[in-house]
Amino acid sequence: MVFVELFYGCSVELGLFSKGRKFIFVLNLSSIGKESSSLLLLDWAPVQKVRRFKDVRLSPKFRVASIQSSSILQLSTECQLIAGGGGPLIPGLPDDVALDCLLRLPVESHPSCRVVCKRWHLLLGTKERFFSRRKELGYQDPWLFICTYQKCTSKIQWQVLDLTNLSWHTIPLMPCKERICPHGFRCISTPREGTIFVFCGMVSDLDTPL
Amino acid sequence: MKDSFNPSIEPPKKTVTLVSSDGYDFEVEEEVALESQVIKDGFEDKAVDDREYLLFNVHSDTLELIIKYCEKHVSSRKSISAAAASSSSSNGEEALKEWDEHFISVDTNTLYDILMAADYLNIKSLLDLAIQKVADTIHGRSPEQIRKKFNIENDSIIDPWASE
Repeated sequence: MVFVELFYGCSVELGLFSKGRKFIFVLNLSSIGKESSSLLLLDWAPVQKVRRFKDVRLSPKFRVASIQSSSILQLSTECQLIAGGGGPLIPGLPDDVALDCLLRLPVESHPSCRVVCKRWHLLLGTKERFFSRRKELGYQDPWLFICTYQKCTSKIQWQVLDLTNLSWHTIPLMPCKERICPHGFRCISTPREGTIFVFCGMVSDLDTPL
Repeated sequence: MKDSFNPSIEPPKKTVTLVSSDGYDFEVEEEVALESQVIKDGFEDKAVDDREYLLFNVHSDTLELIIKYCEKHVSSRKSISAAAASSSSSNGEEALKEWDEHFISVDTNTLYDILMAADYLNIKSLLDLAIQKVADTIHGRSPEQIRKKFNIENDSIIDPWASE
């Protein structure tokens, strides 16, 4: 919880901690309350040898487009979420009420809920809409994104700390082809848009900035 | 005339009659009934002797629970604000949370009934409580347990062991 106090509101600079043989970069507390970003609205910018900002390509694999919210869209989002054939989402409850229940599920229970039945699978699978709706309703939890770097393997892995449940999650690897050294990393996040940009870095074997 | 200034003699409480779907009358205090946004809307326009509400969607068993909840919340709010006014320390909110937790710990069918009634009567705090309870019930269970608990048919063609 030290991190929380230390980095509350900090959105640009990164801090360096030495923990055993690992270096941990604390990126930022990218999400607090309603302005929170969610993992699934996260954009990775490929960091390999990007020299100018305009060269940054967003990797489609990790990109979930941000949604312009409007009242009409909100309504249709709900309709689209509960659309789909088959039985009720939860037998005994109307779908709109059942949807409200499912929207409140903490993210860590999503994997097991996805295999309950087809409709739940479809619902929880439409991440863009589902998480937009969660965001609108303010059900998001603050998450701390942390970039961990293992010195001996040069492996970089982003970890996410769920500050509500104090549980750790792993997110997909950054699309880096080569082994890189994170000392030259600069990260910028825009919590409102749920985006983190990672710039630069150094190639470890050359030890020169990109 | 003097009596009207005597605080020990309270004016007769205004009441509202709620009629359940199976025809039972429940006489409740006005402020208790006003916990429901649906009753609150347009309440002032109704004549005083015509304050009777037919709740076609709420069974008497459920209505009894709903009234119990509203009464508790009205009285707790009063005691909390009284404690705040006299600046004495109070754990009223904590106690109310505990009471809520106990209140909503019911079997699934009763929970659904409360949920539907709260939705119909638009009692936001109760609706939130009940929805959260359903979510909490789902959370931490295996897919099989969820299906069993909520009577959901397994039409899943997805291999549960397939990793993503």
